[in-house]
Amino acid sequence: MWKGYASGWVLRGITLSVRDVVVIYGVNGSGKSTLVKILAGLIPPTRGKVERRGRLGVVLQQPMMHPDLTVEENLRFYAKALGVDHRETAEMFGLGRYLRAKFSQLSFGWRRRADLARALLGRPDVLLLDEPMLGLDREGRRVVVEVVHSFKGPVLVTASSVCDYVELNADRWFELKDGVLSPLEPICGRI
Amino acid sequence: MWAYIEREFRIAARSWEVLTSSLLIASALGLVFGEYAAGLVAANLVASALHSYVQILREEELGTLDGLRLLGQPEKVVGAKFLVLFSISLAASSSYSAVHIAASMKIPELWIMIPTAMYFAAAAAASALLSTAAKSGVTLSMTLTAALVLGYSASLTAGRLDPAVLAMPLAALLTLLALSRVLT
Repeated sequence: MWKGYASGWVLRGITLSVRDVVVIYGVNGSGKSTLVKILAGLIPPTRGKVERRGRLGVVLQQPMMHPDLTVEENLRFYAKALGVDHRETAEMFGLGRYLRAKFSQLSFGWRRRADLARALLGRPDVLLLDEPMLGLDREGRRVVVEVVHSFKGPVLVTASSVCDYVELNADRWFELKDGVLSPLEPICGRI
Repeated sequence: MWAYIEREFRIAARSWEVLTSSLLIASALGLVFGEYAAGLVAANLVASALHSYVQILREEELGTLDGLRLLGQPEKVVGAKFLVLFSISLAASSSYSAVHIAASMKIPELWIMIPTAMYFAAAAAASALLSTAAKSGVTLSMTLTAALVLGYSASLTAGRLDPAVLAMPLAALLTLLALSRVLT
């Protein structure tokens, strides 16, 4: 798969099959978010194609919950659209006391946590998480690790640091550099 | 579908300052315009442009449209967004008409509020969606809206409400729904 903008190619001939837990490491601007958006179907590749099996749960760096609505209104909307109930998922993520708060009033960490809850509504088949640990404290990171460990299906996670993601015990690591994916040995501290 | 409609109306209600502005501007226009149709066009242009920003362009800026895209039901998204824009345009038309009637002491052809609100809502929604698809912003959306409503507005103010002109709102709505799968 290839993706190019006016400034040049961002992804150059990427071939990737996500069947297990995969972490893609890359520095800022390496094209990780572009890759996730293409995999999610939010933007098309310039060349090549993406085959998706099952429903995707997607968390991008920018939350998809509306800031003017409360956490509960946001979750209830997505749950209704998917034909499921939001209360169990909200409870699982400890969102109970924040349900009536406007999404914009939550702290950064709780916003990311609530958005992760949204992505898991209706038990998706595949998870795509774009830098889910970014800006989270220890407790927030623990929640992400738990979600990935308990998820019964393929997970793709992008990372801009290795140390935060080692705990995921991913099956495969790749580095995205100059638009090309190459296998990576995840040694915390080296990168 | 109800979940989508409920969400759009809640977002509109939370932007009550914009909603109030639209109604106040429409009311003020009722005092300014002597000709009913001309003021109606102005009131609808202001309301539909302001609220297409709140309901569509701002959502693209926030990244929340991506969440709706992932649900894979673009017709419901666009249908709900049209419905709220239509309701607001109709409310602005009503405010304008009430003041216009009070000021002029004449009852105009009030029924033209419905096709006018429908046309401006569909045109503004289509412009905003085209603008997001083109990775552009408010300026392009406003330009497109102005271009799309020109013919209808000219016919309305000239009093030429023939079947072809009256079919434009429905045609615009059907075009909007047909394009929804491509644009969202």
